[in-house]
Amino acid sequence: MRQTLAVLVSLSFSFAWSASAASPVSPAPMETSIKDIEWGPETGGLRSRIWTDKANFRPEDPIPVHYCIQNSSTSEQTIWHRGFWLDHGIELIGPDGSTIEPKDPQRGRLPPPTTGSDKNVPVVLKPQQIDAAYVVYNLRDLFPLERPGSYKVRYSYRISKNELVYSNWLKFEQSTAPKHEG
Amino acid sequence: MCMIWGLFVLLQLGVSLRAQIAPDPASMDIYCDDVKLGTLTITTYRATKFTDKDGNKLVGAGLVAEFTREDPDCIYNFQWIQSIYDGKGTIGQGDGTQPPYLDPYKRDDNLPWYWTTPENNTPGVGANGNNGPGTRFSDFPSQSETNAGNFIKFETAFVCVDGLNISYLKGFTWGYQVNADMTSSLFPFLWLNAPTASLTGPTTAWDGTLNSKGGGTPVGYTFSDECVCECTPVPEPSTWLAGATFVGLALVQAFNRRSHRAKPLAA
Repeated sequence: MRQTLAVLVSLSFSFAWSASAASPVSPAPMETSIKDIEWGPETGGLRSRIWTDKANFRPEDPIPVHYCIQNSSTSEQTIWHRGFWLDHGIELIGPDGSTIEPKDPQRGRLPPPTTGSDKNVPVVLKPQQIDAAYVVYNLRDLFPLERPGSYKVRYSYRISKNELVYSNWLKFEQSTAPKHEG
Repeated sequence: MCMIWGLFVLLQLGVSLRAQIAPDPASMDIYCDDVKLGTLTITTYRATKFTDKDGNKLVGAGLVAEFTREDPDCIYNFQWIQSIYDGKGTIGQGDGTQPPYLDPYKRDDNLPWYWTTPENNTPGVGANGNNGPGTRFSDFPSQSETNAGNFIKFETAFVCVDGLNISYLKGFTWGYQVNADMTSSLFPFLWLNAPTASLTGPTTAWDGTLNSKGGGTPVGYTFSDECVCECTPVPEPSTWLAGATFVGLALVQAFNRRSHRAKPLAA
């Protein structure tokens, strides 16, 4: 009886969640499990964090990285959506501790500061509000991850020439185990 | 004296007109075939002048458009397309690409839309409150106030999408120029009932890559003569409860059937 009730309750929650996730009027839902993911250091009243859906990846697995930025101050902050790669960079450290260069330097390496932009969208964040309206990039599309072992990655967002909002360092493992057949 | 006063008023009016233009009309009803989908309103169109965090003095323009749906029970797959069709000193031209080309020039994803999918879905960014994805457009392009003579002209389209088929709903042209006195002036806002080749060309040529210069094999986007706007009903809360109850009851039945099966005799 208890098992049946537990199944019914969990199914109800999963159905409700899938319905809300399918609703296009809500912002990207934040799974409750990410509440334990650490934030990066605060800079200029902003902080950010990245996470993946698991910690271990096989060589054939995509590595989708989620990213969000929060207004951690007590007053409104405006961040600008100008195109992700105009203001963001990604650092990836490989198993031997060395920096891995992106496949395309324009997508990965933080570019020099630019003044002005064509697509230039102000996003006003209230205190503690989170902006999660970012593409979930597959790290494997951006970087060559050819070796097994431990990696760590972090994002950076430039808010001014001398101010960068760094995310947490996210660690993940890449194994050499072949894909399971059958 | 009256003439001087009149001239003074006209001059003041000219300054305000240069700084802000109210599109006329500011709102347009949006139809797909004969079905009214809602109303599109230009809530902001103004010249801008500000200093960024690095102390750079910038000028430009700002435009915000918001769509309010007619049927609160319908969500559509709206998107925005923006083409830069003329300019001097644009980002694309700085990279050797002449207009027309789609905005943003440096692609975040492999889709031809102005918003990325997460942006399109987020209220206050690409969604106007709870009106659904793609119901809001916002752009505040800017550049250094010292770039006198630079200008940029946009053609922006509000569309709905079904696969590779695009239904054009409404569009408009706008833009700004940088003046010698380090201000910006707006180009007239103009509503469009059909896209020009400056927008359809880059859209149908879209190659689905992240290469800003494009030139690859087109993915196959086309502008449909028929309406491809499909209403996706907004789920009611009672629907969730009904679904969960159905699944629960089915489980209970399955459990009961298993309990009443005859047990094998012990050996």
